[in-house]
Amino acid sequence: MKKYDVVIIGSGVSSLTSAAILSKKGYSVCVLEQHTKPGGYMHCFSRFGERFDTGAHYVGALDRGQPFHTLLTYLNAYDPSVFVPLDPTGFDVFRFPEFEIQFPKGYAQVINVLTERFPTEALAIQSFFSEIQTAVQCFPTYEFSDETIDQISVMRAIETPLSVVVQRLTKNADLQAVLYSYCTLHGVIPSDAPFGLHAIMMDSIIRGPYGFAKGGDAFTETLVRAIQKNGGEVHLRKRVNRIEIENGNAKAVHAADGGRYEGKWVLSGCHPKHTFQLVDRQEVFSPAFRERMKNIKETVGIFGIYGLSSQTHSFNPLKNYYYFSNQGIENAFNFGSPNSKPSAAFLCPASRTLSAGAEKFPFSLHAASPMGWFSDWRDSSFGKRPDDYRQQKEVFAEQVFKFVGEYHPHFRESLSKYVTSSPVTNLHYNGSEEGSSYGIYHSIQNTGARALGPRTHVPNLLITGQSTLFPGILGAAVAGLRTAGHIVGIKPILKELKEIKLANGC
Amino acid sequence: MNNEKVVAKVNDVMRRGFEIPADKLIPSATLFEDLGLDSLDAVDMLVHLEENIGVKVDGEQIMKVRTLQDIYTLVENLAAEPGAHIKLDI
Ligand SMILES: Cc1cc2nc3c(=O)[nH]c(=O)nc-3n(C[C@H](O)[C@H](O)[C@H](O)COP(=O)(O)OP(=O)(O)OC[C@H]3O[C@@H](n4cnc5c(N)ncnc54)[C@H](O)[C@@H]3O)c2cc1C
Repeated sequence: MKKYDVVIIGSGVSSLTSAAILSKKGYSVCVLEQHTKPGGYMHCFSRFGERFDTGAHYVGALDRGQPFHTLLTYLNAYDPSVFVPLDPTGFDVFRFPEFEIQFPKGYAQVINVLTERFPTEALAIQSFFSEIQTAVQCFPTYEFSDETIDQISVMRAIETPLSVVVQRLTKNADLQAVLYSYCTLHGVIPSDAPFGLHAIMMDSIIRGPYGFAKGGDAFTETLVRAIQKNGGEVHLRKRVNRIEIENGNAKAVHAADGGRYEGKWVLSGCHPKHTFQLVDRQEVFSPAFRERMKNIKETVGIFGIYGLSSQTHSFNPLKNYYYFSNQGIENAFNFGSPNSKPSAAFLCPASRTLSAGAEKFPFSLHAASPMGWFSDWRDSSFGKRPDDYRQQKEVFAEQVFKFVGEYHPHFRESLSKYVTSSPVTNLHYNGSEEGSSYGIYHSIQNTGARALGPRTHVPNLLITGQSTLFPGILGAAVAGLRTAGHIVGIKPILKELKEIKLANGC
Repeated sequence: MNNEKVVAKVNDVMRRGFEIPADKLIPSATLFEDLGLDSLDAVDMLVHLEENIGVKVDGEQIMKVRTLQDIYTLVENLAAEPGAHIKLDI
């Protein structure tokens, strides 16, 4: 039997990033993925002759020398044809009941647009974005600096709630709502959200927003190719059902088909709760830890609609569309019933290369929804779920259409076909317990000293993934970097990353 | 003189959360050397304590904790804060 330096469970962006770094450093790695395709939330699927993305709509910090570009370059996984720059004059459209605002690329441009809309708030706007830019500087795994961390700035950035910063600067409710919009990308309400986390998300998006030219699958392929070129292995259809423990250490990983993979290290990019359940000797965890895992809050589940409209409704393929009700983001993740309108939705063109006169418009549309609405069907099999499940999905889909229809009057009638997904679908694809979109709830309470990973109570079992650092593709990639750094030493990697960044003029 | 209810509550949390025998739970016991916890356990302890007494503990304060006595003092101070609602029932 072959033994590896590192056996990696799951093939989400975080796992693949760790695998690419470790294999680049000469470690033998073996990635085990349960599905027929690698990538986790990067999965695409085809319907109605169109390709749809699930969790890859856009990413930030991808201009030359910016953090994501630097990291991918370091991994030998940067392929410019995989990405497409979004509309620099307005890539994110935020629609509120009474007004609309579009974020153009670049800090100066965003500040201009906001100041034009909120002239009396010029100082607040200026200060907010300058605080964002200052906050991101203190994160070495984002800014790629190998200097000693200024712990006090880091603590301040992650222990200050977003709402405290915003409310200190402005009392204007509309402006506050705009500055909170990206909470939908991490699923944490402003009073719980660490300012530093929100800052990284905003900074990356404002500086270098890109869509996926050929879907998330193509991005995954670049990572897999890099790993394989380094001699690493990626195995599909390997559902891990046990982490074997010997003398308190992880000895091997078992797959459902009987395969056993020994590793000096075991690294898991699956949801932490799932990872810890795989450990075959639960007594390595204290009752306090088990209790903590049971109680740890999850981010919201998500509902997806993947459809084809016979009209473009003047949607621009190089923009993303956010819709908000007047309910306020603080209440966006409190749910009524599936028969009530969502308070926020996100629409993304499924193709970034639609021609101007196109006669059909493929899109994905997402709104938060709790697992509770669908938990009756939690244990039913994917592809064989009963009719009442489909009916329940229909009920909420109609509410989402109604909501978006308030902004695009003929939206519902223009739909020729669509399919839907629910938190139960997420559970099937990613093993995230509540079908959560962004893993554990990244509140101040679950961040910093209280964050999970990369170390665990099993010394040679490490975890990575969006639950360990911050969510999103960039967050997962940076989590992968940090976890690999735990094995090979983070400082030398940060030094190399810094050199790439500097060489690219940043 | 320690508040007896606080001592009983903290000891109960430690005993149940970390399966530490009652006779080891003496005020001078150091968390790492005597009680065998490590830095990851310390975070679990913080969260476990917070959930059990119903109060958030400042991360910086917990960093300074070395012995069981330090935890008693920490919880006593929290309990003495105006408006504090600490759950001390076992
Ligand atoms: C609807 C939606 C839209 C999103 N849009 C964006 C976006 O536009 N931009 C952005 O930056 N982020 C977006 N995100 C978030 C982003 O997709 C995720 O943060 C990121 O992909 C998570 O990566 P990960 O490595 O943590 O794990 P995951 O992608 O969750 O991967 C985990 C992997 O582990 C595998 N696995 C689980 N259990 C086992 C097992 N027992 N054995 C073997 N394999 C196993 C799973 O099959 C999966 O492949 C979106 C998320 C959602 C849900």
